[in-house]
Amino acid sequence: MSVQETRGAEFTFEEFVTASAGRLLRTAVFLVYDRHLAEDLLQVAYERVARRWKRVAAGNPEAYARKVLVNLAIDEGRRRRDLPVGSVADVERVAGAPAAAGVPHGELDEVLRALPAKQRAVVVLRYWCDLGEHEIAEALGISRGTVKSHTSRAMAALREHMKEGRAGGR
Amino acid sequence: MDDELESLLRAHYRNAADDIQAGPDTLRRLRAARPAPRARRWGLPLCAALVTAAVVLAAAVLVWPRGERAEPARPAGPPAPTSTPAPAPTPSVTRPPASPRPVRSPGARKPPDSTAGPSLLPTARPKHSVRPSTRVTPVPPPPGRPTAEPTTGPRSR
Repeated sequence: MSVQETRGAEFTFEEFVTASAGRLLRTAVFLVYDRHLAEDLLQVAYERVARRWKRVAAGNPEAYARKVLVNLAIDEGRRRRDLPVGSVADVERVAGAPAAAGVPHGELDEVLRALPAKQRAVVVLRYWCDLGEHEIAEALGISRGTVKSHTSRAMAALREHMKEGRAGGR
Repeated sequence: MDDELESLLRAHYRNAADDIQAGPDTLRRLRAARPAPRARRWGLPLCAALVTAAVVLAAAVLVWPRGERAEPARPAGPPAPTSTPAPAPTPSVTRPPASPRPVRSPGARKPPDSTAGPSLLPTARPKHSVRPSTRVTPVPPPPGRPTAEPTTGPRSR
C-alpha cells in the first residue's frame, strides 16, 4: 500500500487505526528513536483523534494524527533534554546499551538522533512523509521560513557528517 | 550535494521502515482508544429543559387573565370637570351648535325672531345647552396663574 492518507467519513475509528498504524508508528520511531516511546506517543495521538473523531473524520484524520504525534514527539524531546543528570536514559547511553529491535541504528541515524527535536521532525516530515513546506509548517505550527531554516541546519549537519565519513574512509 | 543527500535520506527511511511493523498486540492496544459514545450526552439535559419550558408555558396560560380585557387604561389626564358645565367666559369661545335655519318658502314671511317660536323643522338638540346665566361659576385656574378672585392679602411667592 503506497503512502496514501486515510480519508473519508465512512471510516470508523477502528478502520482508521488499522489502516494508518503502520505508517504512523514508523514516523514515531524515526522521530524519537525509541520503539516503546513511539508506541506510547502514537496511542496518545490516537486517543486525541478519538475524542474529536466526528469532526476529524470529515477531513483528513491521518494528517491530524500525524500533527499531534509530531508535536508530542517534540515535547518529549524537550522533556528528555531537561532531565536531570543521572537519569536512566543517561545511564543507558553511557553504558552503550544496544539499540532496541526495530529501531534504525546506522551512522546516519546517529547523526539524525543528535539533531534537535524540531530539526529532526522537519527532516522526517520532508523525506519520509514527503510533505511540502506548507504542510510541514502547518503540522508544526511554525512559518515556512522557519521550516526552511530548520531544514537548512539539519542538512548542514548531515553534510558535515558525510564529509567526515568520506574523509575518514580515505 | 544536496540532491545526493536528499536521495540518501529518502532511501534510508524506506529501508528502515521495512523493519518497523505494528504487531497485532500493538494494533489491539492502539484500537482501544476509540471514541466514547456521546449520543446520549445531551439527552437528559435537553429533556429537562423541554419539561421545564412546558411547565412554565402551562403556568403562564393558567395565570394569564382570560376573556375580554377591561377597557385599556387611559393615560392620566386633567381632573374631570364638575357636574354643571361651566359656561365659557367669552361668548366667542363657545357657540351653540348652529341649528338648521328654517327653510323659507317663497312668499313666506320671515319670522321676526328666531327664538319667537318653534321652528318648522326639527332642530338638532345640542348636547350641552349653553345658557347665559347671571351667576358665573368660577373655573379653577391652572396652577401657577393668579386667580380672578380677590385674595385677602398679597401672595407670597
